[in-house]
Amino acid sequence: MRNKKTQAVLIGTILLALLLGAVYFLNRPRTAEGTKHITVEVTDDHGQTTRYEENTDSQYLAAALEELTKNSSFTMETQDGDYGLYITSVNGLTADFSKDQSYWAVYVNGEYGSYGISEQPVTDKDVYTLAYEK
Amino acid sequence: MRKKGSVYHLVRIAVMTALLEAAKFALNSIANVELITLLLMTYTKVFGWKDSLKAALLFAAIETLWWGVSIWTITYFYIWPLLILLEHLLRNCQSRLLHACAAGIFGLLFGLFCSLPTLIMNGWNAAVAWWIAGIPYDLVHGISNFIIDLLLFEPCVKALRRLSASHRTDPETENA
Repeated sequence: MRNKKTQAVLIGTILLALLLGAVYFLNRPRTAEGTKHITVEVTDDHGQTTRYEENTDSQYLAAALEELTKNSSFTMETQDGDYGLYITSVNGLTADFSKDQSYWAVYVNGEYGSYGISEQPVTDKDVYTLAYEK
Repeated sequence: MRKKGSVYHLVRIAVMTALLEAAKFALNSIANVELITLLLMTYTKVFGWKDSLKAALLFAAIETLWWGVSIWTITYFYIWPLLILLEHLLRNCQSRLLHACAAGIFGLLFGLFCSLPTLIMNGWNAAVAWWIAGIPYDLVHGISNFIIDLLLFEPCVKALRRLSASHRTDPETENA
């Protein structure tokens, strides 16, 4: 009887994991093939915004930003974190959450991004805003 | 009879909290693998929910002081008490597999519980999008919690009970 209960809970746990996997799979970020034209905006600690335009074949934002560093004055440093790659420094301005709770936020078409830059798909005509926030 | 609020009692809660902090820092570099779930479940099993809750709230307060007030530090104030409640409900359960399942389910639903502040501040759509984006991390969290608990819950409970019993036989330390 007790074994059956344990078995049922174990099966329930596995089913929950599969269900979560299915929810993610059905709603996962879709990437687009081919060349995309994107805009990258950088808002610094004084609220000054610098705009960059780029044509990229990259499917994810991290690779597109990496390309941008080669084709413009844009510079960026990243680190691996719990939730994938995150930005630590843009154009020489470093954000350190452990020091002063500052961080580089990523907005996609004005909306706060749900994904890290290594998982954020790049779509044609998207505007990505990297904003220094505290 | 040991009085509540005795030095022994205070030190025990302080050590429980310090262990939580040490465990958090020790595994900081491994994404979504943590020992807090194991420790809090062990504490609740051995010392009961009241002391475990005090240690969990102190841990959340220290994290808030260290990192500042943010969404994830706020979630610590309700998410760890929720785990203590879950383990308290399982207090008479002897099956280590069931405890491991509880730890696994807690890890799988961690992101869902953490999306509550986003739901309140940014609404349903933002909370659901935020939760779904984090599901791969929840899967890692759930699986690692299951394995860690399956392997370490029983040995930790035994070790803590042995330590606790050895202190109880030393009356000189009481109310020192």
